[in-house]
Amino acid sequence: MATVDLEGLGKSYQGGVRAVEGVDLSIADGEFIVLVGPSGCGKSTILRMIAGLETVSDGEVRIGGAVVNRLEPGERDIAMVFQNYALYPHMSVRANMAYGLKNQGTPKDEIARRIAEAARTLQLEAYLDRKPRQLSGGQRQRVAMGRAIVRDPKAFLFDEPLSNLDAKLRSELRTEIKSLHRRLGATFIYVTHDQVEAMSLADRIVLMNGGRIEQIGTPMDLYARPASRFVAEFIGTPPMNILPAESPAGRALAAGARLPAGTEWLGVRPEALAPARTGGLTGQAGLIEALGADMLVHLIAEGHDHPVVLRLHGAAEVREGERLTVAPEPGSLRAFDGEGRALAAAKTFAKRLGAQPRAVSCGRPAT
Amino acid sequence: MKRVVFRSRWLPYALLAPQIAVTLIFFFWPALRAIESSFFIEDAFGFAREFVAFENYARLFADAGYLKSFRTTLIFGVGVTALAMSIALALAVAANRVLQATTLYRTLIIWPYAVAPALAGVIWFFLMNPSLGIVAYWLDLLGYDWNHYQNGDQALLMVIVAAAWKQISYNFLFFLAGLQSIPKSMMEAAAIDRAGPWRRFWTITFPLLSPTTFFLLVINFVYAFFETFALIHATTSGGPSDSTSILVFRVYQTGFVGQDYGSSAAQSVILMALVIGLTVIQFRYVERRVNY
Ligand SMILES: Nc1ncnc2c1ncn2[C@@H]1O[C@H](COP(=O)(O)OP(=O)(O)OP(=O)(O)O)[C@@H](O)[C@H]1O
Ligand SMILES: [Mg+2]
Repeated sequence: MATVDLEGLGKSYQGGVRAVEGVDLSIADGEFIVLVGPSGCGKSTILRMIAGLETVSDGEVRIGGAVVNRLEPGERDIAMVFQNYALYPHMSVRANMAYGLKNQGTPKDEIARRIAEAARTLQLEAYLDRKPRQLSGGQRQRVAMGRAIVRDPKAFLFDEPLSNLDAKLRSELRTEIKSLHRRLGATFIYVTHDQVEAMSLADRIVLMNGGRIEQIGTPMDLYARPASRFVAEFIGTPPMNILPAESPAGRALAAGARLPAGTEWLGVRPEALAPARTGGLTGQAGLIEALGADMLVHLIAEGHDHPVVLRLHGAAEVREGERLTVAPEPGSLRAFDGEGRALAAAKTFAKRLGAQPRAVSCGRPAT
Repeated sequence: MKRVVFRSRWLPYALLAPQIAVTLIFFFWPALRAIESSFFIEDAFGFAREFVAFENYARLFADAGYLKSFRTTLIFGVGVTALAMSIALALAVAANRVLQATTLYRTLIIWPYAVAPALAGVIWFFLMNPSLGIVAYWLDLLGYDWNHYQNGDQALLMVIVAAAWKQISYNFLFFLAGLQSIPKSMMEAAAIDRAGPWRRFWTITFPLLSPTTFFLLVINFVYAFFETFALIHATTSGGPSDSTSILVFRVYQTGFVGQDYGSSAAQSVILMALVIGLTVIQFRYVERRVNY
């Protein structure tokens, strides 16, 4: 277990591709950090630089306070779980887990003890003598995790470990990884492009965009206080509604609130919009997605070409074509400037609309 | 597996007919004739022949020269295979490192380089020629007397090197293809698991290449045993004093030079049995090993 620090980290690939630029990040001992972002934003590159699989072009990687830029992957005392499992196909599950320990000269009985313990934790006891090809995808990924656990490394690195699995297995293993982290109390650095995974796993999320860090914070920070339009639209399903502040729909939404100077865009989460008697945004209910616990209503507002999505309680009675007036909950309206940066005073200006009780209560996006 | 449905029942047979005819006329028929001839002793002019059952075989195994040829063939086969495969593997590993990024394009680029050494086999003989060859001259400068026209061991060594040389390019391509099919992340996982390059090679790469290695092992043996006739014929003609006279060359010598058709036929039947044996091993073993 150890801290991991990245300082001014940058990476240029051959041929001039600048994959990572100026990344500063301090990861505490035992923290679960998730790097998330769209495809090609440099998440894997950062992880591979920490692992030593890619050379560092600029800056420093420190593990447990010591600079490791020049160390071989094997000398960094980290473990990594790959998207395609990367198990050794000619070795049994047991031999796969023992491989790293043998290489570092761990005594035989100690190896056996650690494998037994990891197998118990991951429910792999019945499969120890099988070859990887005789396992399902989920079991394979558990073996890969077992191979990491037995090494008792300073930090665990995961590169989209669940991407090759189906949805149900993915959520199962997600829970398993989370409880594994609890039990081990080790530093986890986890890469994914799936924001649901990021939200549910992370102590802190690092949201990447084009090789740079867009925002670092707890899942709720990113959700409730996005630092930019990019974050607002990346986190949450469906994403935050964004409207031009000066459009009729934008003005109706703000409903006379005092906007910070320079506001060009307004943002509001689907569940922060509630039907209101007066004021607010009026439109016609378009598409309705009933998801069980809640319902997504695509509101076609006058003077705004994108539908505004609102999340209502699953039992709410809304019919397609119905006219609805909605207003943002107090303090839920976000303001962004022309470059998409969040404006500081945004939370103070929402206007109390009183009237109807909230139809929704949902702090987090549903899966 | 894709199934093709033909409208006419006869079309598939008609399409196969030329191939079957070639196989029958040029392989099965001569093979049968060879088996038949091996039971007869024929006079040198082909006027008369006498049925002798297994006498041709019995004579062969009593012939010290034939048994020595077996030994020579074995040394030759092992030498060629070991040399051709180890050099090809070393080259393939080196090439694979360079190739990792843009695989397909560079693999295609390297093909002509890999195939060209086949031509170089002949050049070896000029290089090694005791009176004209530059390598022989260098060896001479080092105080080593090279003359494969007189020294049997040197002659054998030379044909081994020459035969291996021709086979390296072929082995190289297969090894390279095998190496490229090993996922990069597997080697990375091993590196994180604290295996150094040498250990990675012997514990991951080499075992994963085993189907390729075994396939090439059989191919190289078959090549050394049966396809090197022209090479021996063009260079040492089995000499000096039979030191490079491998089995396949002996078939020719006994039959066409010595005119002993019965013995020659018996020898080719033995060779045929060897090929069949190797092929059977290949199929069985490869099936067993490829299944990780
Ligand atoms: N070996 C390489 N050589 C050159 N460019 C590369 C190499 N690996 C990655 N890149 C480039 O670097 C950028 C970042 O790649 P990276 O793999 O880190 O993205 P990622 O965030 O992990 O994306 P994904 O979610 O698709 O895995 C991409 O533009 C990619 O094309
Ligand atoms: Mg990636």
